[in-house]
Amino acid sequence: MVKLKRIYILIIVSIVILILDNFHILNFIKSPIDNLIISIKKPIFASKTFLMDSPKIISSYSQIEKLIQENENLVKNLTELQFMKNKLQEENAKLRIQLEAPFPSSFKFVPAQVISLARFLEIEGGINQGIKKGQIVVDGITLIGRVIETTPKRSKVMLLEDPDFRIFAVTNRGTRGEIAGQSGGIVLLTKVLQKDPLFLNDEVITTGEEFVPSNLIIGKISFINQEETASYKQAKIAPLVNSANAKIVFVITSL
Amino acid sequence: MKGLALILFLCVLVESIWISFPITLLFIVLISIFRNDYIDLLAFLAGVILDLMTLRTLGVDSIFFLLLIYIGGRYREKIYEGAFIYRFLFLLITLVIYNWLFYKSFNPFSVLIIIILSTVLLLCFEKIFPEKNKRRLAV
Repeated sequence: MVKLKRIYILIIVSIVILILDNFHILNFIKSPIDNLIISIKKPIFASKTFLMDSPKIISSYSQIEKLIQENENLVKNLTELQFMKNKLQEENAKLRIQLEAPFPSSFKFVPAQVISLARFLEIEGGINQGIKKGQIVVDGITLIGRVIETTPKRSKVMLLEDPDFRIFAVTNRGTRGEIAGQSGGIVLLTKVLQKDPLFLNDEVITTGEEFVPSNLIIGKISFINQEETASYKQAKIAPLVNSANAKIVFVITSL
Repeated sequence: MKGLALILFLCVLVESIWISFPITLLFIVLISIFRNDYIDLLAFLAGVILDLMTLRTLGVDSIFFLLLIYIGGRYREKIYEGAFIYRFLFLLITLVIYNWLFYKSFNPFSVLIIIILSTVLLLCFEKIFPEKNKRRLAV
């Protein structure tokens, strides 16, 4: 049985609550409850949207399936385009650097994407792109290595630090020597006469002999090994470009 | 008691989130007709929660629901023990007034929905609670 007294009390309580809330006295209670209400309402409202859309979804299922497929294709295309964009941007930046390089206008460059790096650097581009064995590979005006093998679409590049790599070089003070790679990624300037001056941080560049363009930067002298009894002295060279980070390089196809 | 409270809470959720229809009031009236256990307390709580959920001034719905239960108790002989039409009219009038006061909706379509829903639910409740129907609400 519903008791009359209880109804009266509840009505009075309701009126009191109404008056208090009318004067915003109950806001201190309502504010924290709001967070709870929001957290309850949000998912329920979301489910309403889903329920409202359900008949539409069911009726147009085949169309949705088609759209999903289309969306997947678009996402795939977008990813590919994004990748292509990044690649082109990188290539463009490299080309800009290359164009500013102080090479004779007769030089022709073929940009090539690095596809692998183990002992040798493998690039995307070969005979079909005009790349031949013996051609020099650069990044800007920095020497990377030399092409030692080519196929129609790929080429293998021997890096500066390869033990079999040999090239004539000169420091900015005119000291001549020979560049020789060593195992462990070390590049040495060897066969330097004892009388010739060698200083730390001297820049080492190519001499322009043996079909190698002159003034290509090899690196800077980072350590000098000078033995008075030896006929030659040698220096360790710190390359300016880390081949491991190279993504696009340029092959000089015409001198 | 717990089951009824849950039903009313669900009604509050549905009314405050999904639809602009006095479904909470509808169930409070129906429960008050067929079950009289603590309906005043449940109506009070449902009203407060509904006010909180719908950002109305606290207490408005509680007062409305409690007054309705009070009036229903006062005229119990007609409403609860009389013919079906009295219960139906009581439900219809309260729903139309509430709909007009709180939802500003007084179009024929909403009235038609209220009539159909009230009739169907009243008949269902009478089938579900035949014994309870004899235990009338008394104030």
